[in-house]
Amino acid sequence: MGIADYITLCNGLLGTAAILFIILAVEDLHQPYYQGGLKTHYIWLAMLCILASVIGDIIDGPIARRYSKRKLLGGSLDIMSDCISFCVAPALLIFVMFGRWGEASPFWTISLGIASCWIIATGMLRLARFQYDDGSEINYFVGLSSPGNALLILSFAGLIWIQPSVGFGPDLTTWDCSICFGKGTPKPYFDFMMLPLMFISGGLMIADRPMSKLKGGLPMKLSVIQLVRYASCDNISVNSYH
Amino acid sequence: MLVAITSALIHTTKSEHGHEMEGLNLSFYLFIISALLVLAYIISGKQVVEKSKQIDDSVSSEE
Repeated sequence: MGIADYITLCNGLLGTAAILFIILAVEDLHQPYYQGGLKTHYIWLAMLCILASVIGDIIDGPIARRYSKRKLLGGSLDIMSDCISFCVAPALLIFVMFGRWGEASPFWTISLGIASCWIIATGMLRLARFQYDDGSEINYFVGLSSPGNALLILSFAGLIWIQPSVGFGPDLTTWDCSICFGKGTPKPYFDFMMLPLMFISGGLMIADRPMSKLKGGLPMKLSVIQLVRYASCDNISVNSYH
Repeated sequence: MLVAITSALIHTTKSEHGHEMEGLNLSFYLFIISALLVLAYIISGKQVVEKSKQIDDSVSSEE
C-alpha cells in the first residue's frame, strides 16, 4: 500500500466516523430545537467528517498518480470509501436530521427513506460508471461527482437546519398536517425542500451531463461568471418585460 | 463550508440551551455562499467543460 491508499482508507474511516456521530445524534434529535437554539453538535461533527473526507478525496488522486504503483488497489479502495463517505453517510444524515423521530407521519418518514435509498443507489451507479470510465481519456466528469453530491446536500441541509435560529426568514413552523408531516411540533419551515433536492441530486449523479473536474481554478471562476451572466440576463429580460 | 460547520459546532457546543445563537449568523451566510457555489458548478457544468476545451484547444494550437 502506498501513501495515497492510506489517505483513501482514512477517507473511508472518516465516513464511518460520520455514521457513528449520526447514530449518537439520534438521541438529541427527539427535541432538536430547544429555546430557539440548536444543541445537536453531533450533527456538525458528522458533517465535518464528511467534509474532511471530501478534502481527502481531492488530494489522494494526484498523490496516487504520482507515487502509487498499484492503481487497481487504489481505485477499488477509492470507490468503496466514496460510497461510505459521500453516499451512505449523507443519506443517513438527512434521514436523521429531518426524520423527526416519533413526530413525523409515516408518509414523511417513508418519503425521506425512499429519497435516502435513491441517493445511495444512484451514488453506487455513479461510482460504478466512474470506475468503468476511469481508463478513458475524457478530462471531465459525466454526471455530478459523488463528493459534489455530498457538498450539495450538506450545504442545503445546514442552511435549512440553522435558518430558524438566525432569525432570517420564516420562524419554526408547526404545520399541523397529520397526513403529510405528522404532529404539530416545531420544525424548520423549509425542511420539505430536502426531498426534491435529494431526488435532483441523485438524478444528476446518473445523468449524462458533463461536469468540470475543477482543475487549476479556472473552471470554478468560469462557473461563477456563467452564473452571474445567467442572473444578469434573467434580470434584463424581467425588467424589459415590465 | 469548513468554517461554516466549525463555527456552528463551536456555538452549538457552547450554548447548551440555545441562548447564544448570534454566532450562527456567520455559519448561515457561509452555508448560503457554499450552496450558491455548488449550484454555480452544477448549472454551468456543460458550458464550463466546453469553454475549458476551447481554451485548451487554443493553447495547443498556439504551441
